[in-house]
Amino acid sequence: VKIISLVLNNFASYYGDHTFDFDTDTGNDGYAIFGHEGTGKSSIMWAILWCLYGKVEATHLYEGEMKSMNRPVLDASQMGGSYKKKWYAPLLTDKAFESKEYNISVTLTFEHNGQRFVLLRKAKATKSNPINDTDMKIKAHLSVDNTTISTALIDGVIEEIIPQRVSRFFFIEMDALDQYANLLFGSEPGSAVREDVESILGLPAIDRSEDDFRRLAKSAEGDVTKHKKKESTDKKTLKKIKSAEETKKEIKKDLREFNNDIKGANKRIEEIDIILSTESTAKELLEKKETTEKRIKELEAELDKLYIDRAEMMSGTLWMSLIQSNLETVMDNLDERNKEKDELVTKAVKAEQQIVFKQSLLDKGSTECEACGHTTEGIGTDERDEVAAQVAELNESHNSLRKEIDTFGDPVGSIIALSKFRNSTGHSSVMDTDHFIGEKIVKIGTNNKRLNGISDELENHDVSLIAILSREKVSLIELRGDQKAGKSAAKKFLQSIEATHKRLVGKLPSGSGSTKVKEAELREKVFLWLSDTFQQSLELYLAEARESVQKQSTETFLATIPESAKYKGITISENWEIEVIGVNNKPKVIINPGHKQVIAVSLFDGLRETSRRTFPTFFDNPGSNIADETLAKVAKHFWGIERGQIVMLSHGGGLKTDETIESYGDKLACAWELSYVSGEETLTQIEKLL
Amino acid sequence: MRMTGMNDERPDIRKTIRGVLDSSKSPVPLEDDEKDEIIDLCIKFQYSTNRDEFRKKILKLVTSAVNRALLSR
Repeated sequence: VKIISLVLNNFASYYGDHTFDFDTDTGNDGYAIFGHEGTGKSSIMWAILWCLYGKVEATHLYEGEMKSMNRPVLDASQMGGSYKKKWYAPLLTDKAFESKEYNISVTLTFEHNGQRFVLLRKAKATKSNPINDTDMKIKAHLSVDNTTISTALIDGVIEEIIPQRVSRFFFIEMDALDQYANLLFGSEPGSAVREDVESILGLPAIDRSEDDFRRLAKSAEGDVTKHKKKESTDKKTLKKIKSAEETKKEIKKDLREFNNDIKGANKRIEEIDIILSTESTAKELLEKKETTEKRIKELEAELDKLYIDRAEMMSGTLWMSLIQSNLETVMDNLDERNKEKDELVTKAVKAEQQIVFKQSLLDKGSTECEACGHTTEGIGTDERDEVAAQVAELNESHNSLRKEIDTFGDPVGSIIALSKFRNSTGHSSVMDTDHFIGEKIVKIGTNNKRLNGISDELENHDVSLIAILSREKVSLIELRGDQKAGKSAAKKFLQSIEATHKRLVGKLPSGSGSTKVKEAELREKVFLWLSDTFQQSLELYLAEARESVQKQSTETFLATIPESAKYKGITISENWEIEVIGVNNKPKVIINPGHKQVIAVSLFDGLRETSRRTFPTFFDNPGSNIADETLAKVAKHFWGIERGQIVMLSHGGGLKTDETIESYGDKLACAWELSYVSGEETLTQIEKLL
Repeated sequence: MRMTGMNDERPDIRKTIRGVLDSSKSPVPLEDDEKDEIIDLCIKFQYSTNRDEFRKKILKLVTSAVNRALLSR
């Protein structure tokens, strides 16, 4: 990676636009930026970090513990005066905040693998009076060779070029390096340091992958168990599927048989219909006969019902209604008989009177007839015999009349006795029922006559054949109905079996159970193999990397440490613990903080070089603890090697501007001097020296 | 002497891993491209906080090789 330019706008002390143009045709990769404390040297590093990752981490030592926090873009509580600033000061220029210019941006242009990248990160307020970052909208834009990269991909692209995790090895804050160096000299460097070191060397590529391979092997092992279990279940399912298939076959066979039977029945019915059509008269007669018989049965049933109704009506006192008509007749007859009796009685009385009269004639000579008033004067013998004969005849007649009268009995008494049964209630309904009964009987009779006529006519036809065929047809129709019902049921059953079959087949995996097991077993083996090979790779690469770092660090150390002849080099333990070895092959105790810084710088250099990552390296404030001689050697060494851009951000106590330009001017591509704007002690201005 | 240049003695993580992979017999044959892809993925995802995607891609690659091996048997 080679930085082409850096443009800051309202970033930290850079109010308005400020550009650092790194692109020169000098062929040099050395850069020097001079400036007193607070003039904006470190802000250049922070601007690049913010542009790359969207955040700048501030660190702070508090009660022996290192604290870190992301610096806000805007924090109104800290703005408007340096006395308000906390250790995590906001990135927006104070002056911009005061002028209500709530926008900030950094544009980094660089080359990587022959392509030109332009990365812009900017933030602007979403409210008229923003209070903090929640009122700011931060956006990034990246173009590669003038092609815009999707916002979602920007972080990934930047991570591939320079992962944030390893950026500390390229943006070296020398003051913080002191503490880092102390950690390296500890009996066992902390895990954070070890992780940092291993990160830049790319060990996570092996280490984390190995861990994942083991997980994947474990997952495959689980799959083996699962598939074996499933295989057993699958066998049961297969058995059920086979059974379902057998049933399907059976049903289909039944369906074919049903179809054949129905077809056969249809054919036979057609044949019968043809035969019966030639005997249409007989058929009609048979139908008439059947209809008439049916009608007779209906009438008989209706008649039975009427009888039942009548019997029900008769129960209780209704019987009296029934006898009314006869009662009237009887009473009329009795009345007639009474009249006849009365006539006979009259006759008998007359006869008695005549007898009495005649007898008196016989008994007295003359006698007045009480009936007619005739007075006789007495009769002679002849006449007497004649009258006696008449009396005898009258007695006989009278006796006969009396006998006849006796035969009449007592009609009046009977009439009186029957009178108490005279009642007309319900008479009409019984009469109606009787009427209907009579009607039905007549109809039955009529139909029976018709039936006899039909039967007589049928004697001229082959009735038995027609009857047989008709019965056969009826039977066939019934059979066909049964077959259709059977077919419908079979179809439904088939559908049900097919659904079951489909469900069971769906339960089976796409491959056979045993294949799945084999696949999972093999997959487990491959992941275990990968895990093993990566474990071996890790051990091998770690040893190679440590040796390389040790070699590179020693080279840099010996090139930058004063009195290098006293030292043999640097050794690095498996825990990345550093020891400086003297020429006598014995470890040397390093107390000088400047020397410790040099060792840390050397180690970082060894790590950068071994990692094969090429990114501009920034040394912020070199010389804070380093003697001038050492600093000169450091500058000479790093600006002298052809290994990408090296940017030294130096204050007055470090590299001296004039001396540096004079001593290393031929190694430098650019040099700038930073200072405050006149009258504005918080705003930076840039002067290009080279 | 810097290690950069023609006689580069610096370790190369790709070569190291590849060397070990080549020297050990894999349970299923792996193409050279597949080995390189595995290494590429390992390096690409080395700082990734979400490992799911890495595992998914590796699983797909290995499963493909395993199925190919099973088919060839």
